[in-house]
Amino acid sequence: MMENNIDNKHLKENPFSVPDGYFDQLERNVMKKVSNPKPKVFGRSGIRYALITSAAAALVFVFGTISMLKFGNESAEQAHNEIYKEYNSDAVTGSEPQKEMSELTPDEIIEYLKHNEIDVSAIGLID
Amino acid sequence: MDDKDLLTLFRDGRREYAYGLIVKKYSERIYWHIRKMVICHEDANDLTQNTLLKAWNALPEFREESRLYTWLYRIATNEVLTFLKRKKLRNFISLDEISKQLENALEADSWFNGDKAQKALHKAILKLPEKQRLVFNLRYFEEMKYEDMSEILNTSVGALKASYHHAHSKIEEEMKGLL
Repeated sequence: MMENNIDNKHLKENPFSVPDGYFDQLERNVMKKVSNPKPKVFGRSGIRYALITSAAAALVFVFGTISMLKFGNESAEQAHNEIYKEYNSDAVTGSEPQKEMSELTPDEIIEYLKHNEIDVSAIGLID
Repeated sequence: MDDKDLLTLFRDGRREYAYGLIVKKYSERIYWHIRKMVICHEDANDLTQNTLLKAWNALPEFREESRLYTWLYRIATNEVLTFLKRKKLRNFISLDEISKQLENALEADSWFNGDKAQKALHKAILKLPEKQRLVFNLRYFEEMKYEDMSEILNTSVGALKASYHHAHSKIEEEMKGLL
């Protein structure tokens, strides 16, 4: 069967066709676009791409800022606590860990100031 | 006018005139190359215009490391492969399904005038993977040299020969079942 042989010349002929005058029209269309290029605008997919990119950038910014603030503060607080702990440790002071300011009684404060030769009456702590 | 003269004309400042001649010389070949891959005339028309506009924009940077016609074919081939890839991604379909879609397009194509044997051949070609289909079309219909195909598809001549012979056997086998 001749038709079955794919090297048959008939099968190599182009069976597709185009509308009349199509190639002249194609040339005209291309050259028209070449002569009057459209200004670049975002297509629907371009807009979607731009929106997705902007949303992603905004999310990264928001999460980045939150993380920096949160973890930045936490690190600062942690560092402060560590220094405080170290400063108050037995190894540094050779004494009992010191109390927080709020834990001191007024008498203890006055005692401390007197001990450091600060005139407590001058700063109006006592009458 | 040969390609070298056309490029000289383009670089001498008569850009649009030179490009008009390039379009006249190659648009039909490019269209048929694309049409055999995408089947649908409207899709082939869009892709041919995109190819020629991309070539116009890129021509000032064309350094003649390849020939003008293989360079144009390469742009067209990339357009086709991107189009088919997008179609698969957009519709979440596999290679088999896209082959089936193209076969349906061939069946419905009012611009297909082939007989039963030609239809069977084109259906069998559509069953090949895209790159093998490109190789087969370029060699079988256009009788393009393997060296030129190598420039277009960026594949070695040996690999292209193997691909063509493999495709040829598959189509022959497929045709037996279709006729």
